[in-house]
Amino acid sequence: MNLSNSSKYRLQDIEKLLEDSLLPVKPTQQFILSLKEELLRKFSSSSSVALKEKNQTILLAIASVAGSSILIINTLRTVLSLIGVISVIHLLKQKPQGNTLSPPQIASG
Amino acid sequence: MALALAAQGDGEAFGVLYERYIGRIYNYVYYRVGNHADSEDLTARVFMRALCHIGNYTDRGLPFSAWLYRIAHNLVANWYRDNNRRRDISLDDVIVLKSKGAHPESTLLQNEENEQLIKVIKCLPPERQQLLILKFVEHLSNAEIGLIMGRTEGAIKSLYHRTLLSLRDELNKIDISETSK
Repeated sequence: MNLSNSSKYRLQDIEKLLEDSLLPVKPTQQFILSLKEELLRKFSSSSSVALKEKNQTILLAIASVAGSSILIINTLRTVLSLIGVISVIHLLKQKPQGNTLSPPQIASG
Repeated sequence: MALALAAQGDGEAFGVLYERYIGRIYNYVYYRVGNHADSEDLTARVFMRALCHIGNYTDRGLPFSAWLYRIAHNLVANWYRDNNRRRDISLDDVIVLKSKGAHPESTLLQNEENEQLIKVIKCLPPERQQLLILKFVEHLSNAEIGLIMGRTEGAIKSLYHRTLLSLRDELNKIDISETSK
Protein backbone atom coordinates (compact mmCIF):
# COMPACT_ATOMS: atom_id res chain seq x y z
CA MET A 1 0.00 0.00 0.00
CA ASN A 2 1.97 2.94 -1.20
CA LEU A 3 -0.11 5.86 -0.07
CA SER A 4 2.56 8.52 -0.46
CA ASN A 5 2.12 8.46 -4.20
CA SER A 6 -1.66 8.80 -4.03
CA SER A 7 -3.04 12.33 -4.06
CA LYS A 8 -5.35 11.86 -1.15
CA TYR A 9 -5.61 9.56 1.83
CA ARG A 10 -9.00 8.02 2.32
CA LEU A 11 -10.43 7.19 5.74
CA GLN A 12 -10.02 3.48 5.06
CA ASP A 13 -6.34 4.08 4.30
CA ILE A 14 -5.92 5.89 7.59
CA GLU A 15 -7.55 3.01 9.45
CA LYS A 16 -5.28 0.52 7.70
CA LEU A 17 -2.23 2.63 8.55
CA LEU A 18 -3.32 2.81 12.17
CA GLU A 19 -3.68 -0.97 12.28
CA ASP A 20 -0.19 -1.38 10.86
CA SER A 21 1.45 1.26 13.02
CA LEU A 22 -0.08 0.82 16.46
CA LEU A 23 1.05 -2.63 17.48
CA PRO A 24 0.93 -4.04 21.00
CA VAL A 25 4.09 -3.77 23.06
CA LYS A 26 4.88 -6.40 25.66
CA PRO A 27 6.53 -5.65 28.99
CA THR A 28 9.59 -7.76 29.81
CA GLN A 29 9.03 -10.95 31.75
CA GLN A 30 11.53 -9.75 34.34
CA PHE A 31 9.49 -6.60 34.95
CA ILE A 32 6.24 -8.58 35.24
CA LEU A 33 7.73 -10.97 37.80
CA SER A 34 9.52 -8.36 39.87
CA LEU A 35 6.46 -6.12 40.06
CA LYS A 36 4.27 -9.06 41.06
CA GLU A 37 6.71 -9.96 43.82
CA GLU A 38 6.74 -6.39 45.05
CA LEU A 39 2.94 -6.17 44.98
CA LEU A 40 2.51 -9.40 46.91
CA ARG A 41 5.08 -8.26 49.47
CA LYS A 42 3.26 -4.98 49.92
CA PHE A 43 -0.07 -6.81 50.07
CA SER A 44 1.10 -9.11 52.88
CA SER A 45 2.66 -6.24 54.84
CA SER A 46 -0.45 -4.11 54.49
CA SER A 47 -2.58 -7.11 55.55
CA SER A 48 -0.47 -7.59 58.69
CA VAL A 49 -0.70 -3.88 59.47
CA ALA A 50 -4.46 -4.04 58.97
CA LEU A 51 -4.65 -7.07 61.28
CA LYS A 52 -2.57 -5.28 63.90
CA GLU A 53 -4.79 -2.22 63.67
CA LYS A 54 -7.87 -4.41 63.99
CA ASN A 55 -6.49 -6.08 67.13
CA GLN A 56 -5.60 -2.70 68.59
CA THR A 57 -9.12 -1.45 67.92
CA ILE A 58 -10.64 -4.50 69.67
CA LEU A 59 -8.34 -4.06 72.70
CA LEU A 60 -9.19 -0.37 72.87
CA ALA A 61 -12.90 -1.17 72.78
CA ILE A 62 -12.53 -3.76 75.59
CA ALA A 63 -10.53 -1.29 77.69
CA SER A 64 -13.15 1.41 77.13
CA VAL A 65 -16.00 -0.90 78.18
CA ALA A 66 -14.07 -2.07 81.25
CA GLY A 67 -13.22 1.52 82.24
CA SER A 68 -16.82 2.65 81.82
CA SER A 69 -18.07 -0.32 83.88
CA ILE A 70 -15.68 0.48 86.73
CA LEU A 71 -16.78 4.11 86.64
CA ILE A 72 -20.45 3.14 86.80
CA ILE A 73 -19.85 0.68 89.67
CA ASN A 74 -17.88 3.26 91.64
CA THR A 75 -20.59 5.84 91.08
CA LEU A 76 -23.25 3.39 92.30
CA ARG A 77 -21.16 2.58 95.36
CA THR A 78 -20.78 6.25 96.16
CA VAL A 79 -24.49 6.88 95.72
CA LEU A 80 -25.36 3.89 97.94
CA SER A 81 -22.89 5.03 100.56
CA LEU A 82 -24.38 8.51 100.53
CA ILE A 83 -27.89 7.08 100.87
CA GLY A 84 -26.67 5.00 103.83
CA VAL A 85 -25.08 7.99 105.55
CA ILE A 86 -28.18 10.11 104.98
CA SER A 87 -30.37 7.33 106.41
CA VAL A 88 -28.21 7.06 109.53
CA ILE A 89 -28.28 10.83 110.04
CA HIS A 90 -32.04 10.78 109.59
CA LEU A 91 -32.44 7.98 112.16
CA LEU A 92 -30.17 9.74 114.63
CA LYS A 93 -32.26 12.88 114.25
CA GLN A 94 -35.51 10.97 114.76
CA LYS A 95 -34.45 9.25 118.04
CA PRO A 96 -34.21 12.33 120.32
CA GLN A 97 -37.44 13.74 118.91
CA GLY A 98 -39.26 10.50 119.85
CA ASN A 99 -38.07 10.80 123.46
CA THR A 100 -39.51 14.29 123.83
CA LEU A 101 -42.83 13.38 122.24
CA SER A 102 -43.60 10.57 124.65
CA PRO A 103 -42.15 11.46 128.05
CA PRO A 104 -42.35 8.75 130.73
CA GLN A 105 -45.39 8.98 133.03
CA ILE A 106 -44.49 9.39 136.68
CA ALA A 107 -47.04 8.02 138.99
CA SER A 108 -48.14 10.50 141.63
CA GLY A 109 -49.03 9.61 145.13
CA MET B 1 -14.76 -14.04 41.14
CA ALA B 2 -11.09 -13.04 41.42
CA LEU B 3 -12.18 -9.43 41.70
CA ALA B 4 -14.54 -10.11 44.59
CA LEU B 5 -11.86 -12.10 46.41
CA ALA B 6 -9.22 -9.44 45.78
CA ALA B 7 -11.56 -6.76 47.14
CA GLN B 8 -11.91 -8.86 50.31
CA GLY B 9 -8.13 -8.91 50.73
CA ASP B 10 -7.10 -12.09 48.93
CA GLY B 11 -3.53 -11.62 47.71
CA GLU B 12 -3.60 -14.52 45.27
CA ALA B 13 -6.77 -13.18 43.64
CA PHE B 14 -5.09 -9.83 43.18
CA GLY B 15 -2.17 -11.68 41.57
CA VAL B 16 -4.59 -13.24 39.07
CA LEU B 17 -5.99 -9.81 38.20
CA TYR B 18 -2.48 -8.44 37.88
CA GLU B 19 -1.47 -11.12 35.39
CA ARG B 20 -4.66 -10.59 33.43
CA TYR B 21 -4.22 -6.84 32.99
CA ILE B 22 -0.50 -6.06 33.24
CA GLY B 23 0.07 -6.32 29.47
CA ARG B 24 -2.86 -4.08 28.58
CA ILE B 25 -2.01 -1.40 31.10
CA TYR B 26 1.65 -1.44 30.12
CA ASN B 27 0.68 -1.10 26.48
CA TYR B 28 -1.57 1.83 27.20
CA VAL B 29 1.03 3.63 29.31
CA TYR B 30 3.77 2.92 26.79
CA TYR B 31 1.87 4.53 23.94
CA ARG B 32 1.14 7.57 26.12
CA VAL B 33 4.66 8.21 27.45
CA GLY B 34 6.83 6.68 24.72
CA ASN B 35 9.61 4.87 26.56
CA HIS B 36 10.03 1.65 28.46
CA ALA B 37 11.60 3.07 31.63
CA ASP B 38 8.76 5.49 32.38
CA SER B 39 6.18 2.94 31.25
CA GLU B 40 7.48 0.44 33.79
CA ASP B 41 7.50 3.06 36.53
CA LEU B 42 3.97 4.26 35.78
CA THR B 43 2.59 0.73 35.32
CA ALA B 44 4.00 -0.21 38.72
CA ARG B 45 2.32 2.86 40.21
CA VAL B 46 -1.01 1.93 38.59
CA PHE B 47 -1.01 -1.49 40.25
CA MET B 48 0.26 -0.10 43.57
CA ARG B 49 -2.63 2.34 43.60
CA ALA B 50 -5.06 -0.39 42.59
CA LEU B 51 -3.74 -2.54 45.44
CA CYS B 52 -4.26 0.27 47.96
CA HIS B 53 -7.82 0.99 46.83
CA ILE B 54 -9.12 -2.41 45.77
CA GLY B 55 -10.90 -2.71 49.13
CA ASN B 56 -12.98 0.35 48.24
CA TYR B 57 -13.75 -0.88 44.72
CA THR B 58 -17.47 -1.09 44.08
CA ASP B 59 -18.87 -2.89 41.08
CA ARG B 60 -21.02 -0.38 39.19
CA GLY B 61 -21.40 -2.54 36.14
CA LEU B 62 -18.17 -1.28 34.57
CA PRO B 63 -15.42 -3.71 33.62
CA PHE B 64 -12.50 -3.84 36.05
CA SER B 65 -10.17 -2.85 33.22
CA ALA B 66 -12.04 0.48 32.97
CA TRP B 67 -11.10 1.20 36.57
CA LEU B 68 -7.45 0.36 35.88
CA TYR B 69 -7.38 2.45 32.70
CA ARG B 70 -8.81 5.39 34.65
CA ILE B 71 -6.02 5.07 37.21
CA ALA B 72 -3.46 4.83 34.39
CA HIS B 73 -4.98 7.81 32.61
CA ASN B 74 -4.82 9.95 35.78
CA LEU B 75 -1.26 8.91 36.56
CA VAL B 76 -0.08 9.68 33.03
CA ALA B 77 -1.79 13.08 33.19
CA ASN B 78 -0.09 13.77 36.55
CA TRP B 79 3.22 12.58 35.11
CA TYR B 80 3.00 15.14 32.32
CA ARG B 81 1.82 17.89 34.63
CA ASP B 82 4.25 17.30 37.51
CA ASN B 83 7.31 17.05 35.33
CA ASN B 84 6.17 19.70 32.91
CA ARG B 85 7.04 17.32 30.11
CA ARG B 86 6.41 18.25 26.55
CA ARG B 87 4.59 15.77 24.38
CA ASP B 88 7.25 15.47 21.75
CA ILE B 89 8.27 11.88 22.17
CA SER B 90 11.02 10.30 20.14
CA LEU B 91 9.47 8.36 17.30
CA ASP B 92 12.16 5.74 17.58
CA ASP B 93 10.91 5.06 21.08
CA VAL B 94 7.26 4.75 20.19
CA ILE B 95 7.02 3.28 16.75
CA VAL B 96 6.63 -0.46 16.50
CA LEU B 97 7.11 -1.33 12.91
CA LYS B 98 5.71 -4.42 11.36
CA SER B 99 8.13 -6.20 9.13
CA LYS B 100 6.09 -8.04 6.59
CA GLY B 101 8.99 -9.78 4.93
CA ALA B 102 8.08 -7.97 1.74
CA HIS B 103 10.33 -6.14 -0.67
CA PRO B 104 12.79 -3.88 1.25
CA GLU B 105 11.75 -0.80 -0.74
CA SER B 106 8.05 -1.24 0.00
CA THR B 107 8.86 -1.93 3.64
CA LEU B 108 10.84 1.31 3.76
CA LEU B 109 7.92 3.26 2.27
CA GLN B 110 5.56 1.60 4.68
CA ASN B 111 7.82 2.54 7.59
CA GLU B 112 7.98 6.14 6.40
CA GLU B 113 4.20 6.29 6.29
CA ASN B 114 3.97 4.79 9.74
CA GLU B 115 6.46 7.31 11.07
CA GLN B 116 4.48 10.16 9.56
CA LEU B 117 1.31 8.81 11.08
CA ILE B 118 2.83 8.45 14.53
CA LYS B 119 4.18 11.98 14.24
CA VAL B 120 0.69 13.27 13.45
CA ILE B 121 -0.88 11.18 16.23
CA LYS B 122 1.51 12.72 18.75
CA CYS B 123 0.18 16.16 17.83
CA LEU B 124 -3.41 15.16 18.59
CA PRO B 125 -5.08 16.13 21.88
CA PRO B 126 -4.56 13.54 24.67
CA GLU B 127 -8.15 12.25 24.56
CA ARG B 128 -7.88 11.47 20.85
CA GLN B 129 -4.56 9.73 21.39
CA GLN B 130 -6.19 7.72 24.18
CA LEU B 131 -9.05 6.76 21.89
CA LEU B 132 -6.68 5.53 19.16
CA ILE B 133 -4.59 3.52 21.64
CA LEU B 134 -7.66 1.87 23.14
CA LYS B 135 -9.09 1.10 19.71
CA PHE B 136 -6.03 -0.06 17.79
CA VAL B 137 -3.64 -1.29 20.46
CA GLU B 138 -6.14 -2.68 22.94
CA HIS B 139 -8.78 -3.55 20.32
CA LEU B 140 -11.63 -2.36 22.53
CA SER B 141 -15.11 -1.65 21.22
CA ASN B 142 -16.60 1.85 21.16
CA ALA B 143 -18.83 0.90 24.10
CA GLU B 144 -15.86 -0.24 26.19
CA ILE B 145 -13.88 2.86 25.28
CA GLY B 146 -16.89 4.95 26.26
CA LEU B 147 -16.94 3.33 29.70
CA ILE B 148 -13.25 4.05 30.20
CA MET B 149 -13.37 7.61 28.95
CA GLY B 150 -16.67 8.41 30.62
CA ARG B 151 -18.56 9.08 27.39
CA THR B 152 -21.39 7.52 25.51
CA GLU B 153 -20.81 5.05 22.69
CA GLY B 154 -22.18 7.62 20.24
CA ALA B 155 -19.81 10.29 21.49
CA ILE B 156 -16.87 7.93 21.03
CA LYS B 157 -18.00 7.06 17.52
CA SER B 158 -18.21 10.73 16.67
CA LEU B 159 -14.84 11.52 18.28
CA TYR B 160 -13.27 8.64 16.36
CA HIS B 161 -14.65 9.90 13.07
CA ARG B 162 -13.38 13.43 13.76
CA THR B 163 -9.99 12.00 14.71
CA LEU B 164 -9.77 10.08 11.45
CA LEU B 165 -10.69 13.20 9.52
CA SER B 166 -8.03 15.30 11.23
CA LEU B 167 -5.44 12.54 10.68
CA ARG B 168 -6.36 12.39 7.03
CA ASP B 169 -6.13 16.16 6.65
CA GLU B 170 -2.75 16.31 8.35
CA LEU B 171 -1.35 13.42 6.30
CA ASN B 172 -2.65 14.95 3.10
CA LYS B 173 -0.96 18.24 4.01
CA ILE B 174 2.33 16.42 4.55
CA ASP B 175 1.80 14.53 1.29
CA ILE B 176 1.17 17.73 -0.66
CA SER B 177 4.17 19.52 0.86
CA GLU B 178 6.44 16.57 0.06
CA THR B 179 5.28 16.23 -3.54
CA SER B 180 5.69 19.97 -4.12
CA LYS B 181 9.38 19.84 -3.04
